[in-house]
Amino acid sequence: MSTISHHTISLDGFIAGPDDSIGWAFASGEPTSLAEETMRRIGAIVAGRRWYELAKERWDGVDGIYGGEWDGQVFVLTHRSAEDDDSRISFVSGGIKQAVGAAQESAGDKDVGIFGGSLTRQCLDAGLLDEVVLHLAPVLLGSGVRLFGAEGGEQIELERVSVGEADRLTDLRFRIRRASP
Amino acid sequence: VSELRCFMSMSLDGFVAGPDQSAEDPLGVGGMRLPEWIFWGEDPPFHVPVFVLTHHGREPLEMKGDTTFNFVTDGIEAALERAKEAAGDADVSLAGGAKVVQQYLAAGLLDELDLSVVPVLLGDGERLFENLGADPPELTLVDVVDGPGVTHLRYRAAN
Repeated sequence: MSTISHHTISLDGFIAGPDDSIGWAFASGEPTSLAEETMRRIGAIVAGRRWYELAKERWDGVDGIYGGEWDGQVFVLTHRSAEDDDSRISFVSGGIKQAVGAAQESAGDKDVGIFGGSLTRQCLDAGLLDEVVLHLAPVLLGSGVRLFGAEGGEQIELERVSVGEADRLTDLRFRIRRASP
Repeated sequence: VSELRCFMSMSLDGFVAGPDQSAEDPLGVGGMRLPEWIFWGEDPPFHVPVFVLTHHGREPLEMKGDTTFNFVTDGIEAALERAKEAAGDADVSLAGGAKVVQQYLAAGLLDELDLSVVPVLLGDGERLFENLGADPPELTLVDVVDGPGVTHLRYRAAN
């Protein structure tokens, strides 16, 4: 079972543009084969509070995930207590390990998807991330929400597992390299 | 027609040099993972005229092996003009660093960008895609080459 950070990203490194816009990410229409494959692997998702607020407000909540093709539980990591009528949303306040643990349990034999730059960083720092799956869009957004910030931390080596061209997007799949114990 | 092309290596998190650049660590801590580093002696590897953007003018410097360093003080457009003149029908290569590439990109003067994405997260350093102004050029992906470990992406800029 793997933990996968899965995003469409602009060439300048943003997963959301100015005003949290994500329309640019879907400009090419159909999901790529790597996107579909990754969606099918993912049995539960860990997302942040910011994703949750935006998803409720703009993206049709859980029904908007992967264009409505996906089914599973979403674990929202948040410090503020919250409730949602949608039983597919669970709130977790105990930190990244607890959130990923709960998602792994829910995912069963499937993998866990990580949404968001901050959560990806937290997973990397905690040694919880196994893969990074990216769909690189040839656009320069200039500002927005970055997947990888400049917060320092340890240098992390990855191994590129696959690369593919899909219309205008570039499919990239990486595995995190860990020093052998 | 002579074009301006740029080859850059970039970490997966978007840096062309690591943090804390210094004389001992010219590409910053971890930046040596990016194979952009070049140290040369009396025979630099260019073997063509090189135009160096600087604020301090000085006489051209002729090196062994047909490399001449010309120092240009009147801006990126003048430097490109002189380089294209020297290149004739051949292309002009833009060598960096990041700030110079950003200026040419933002000004709509770059024709092609060859980007080698290195599978490492440096965590900090100098970003390539930054300071591009309100209206950065549109890019079209024209080629993807699966190198050993590194992914080569070639973009055309619509200026």
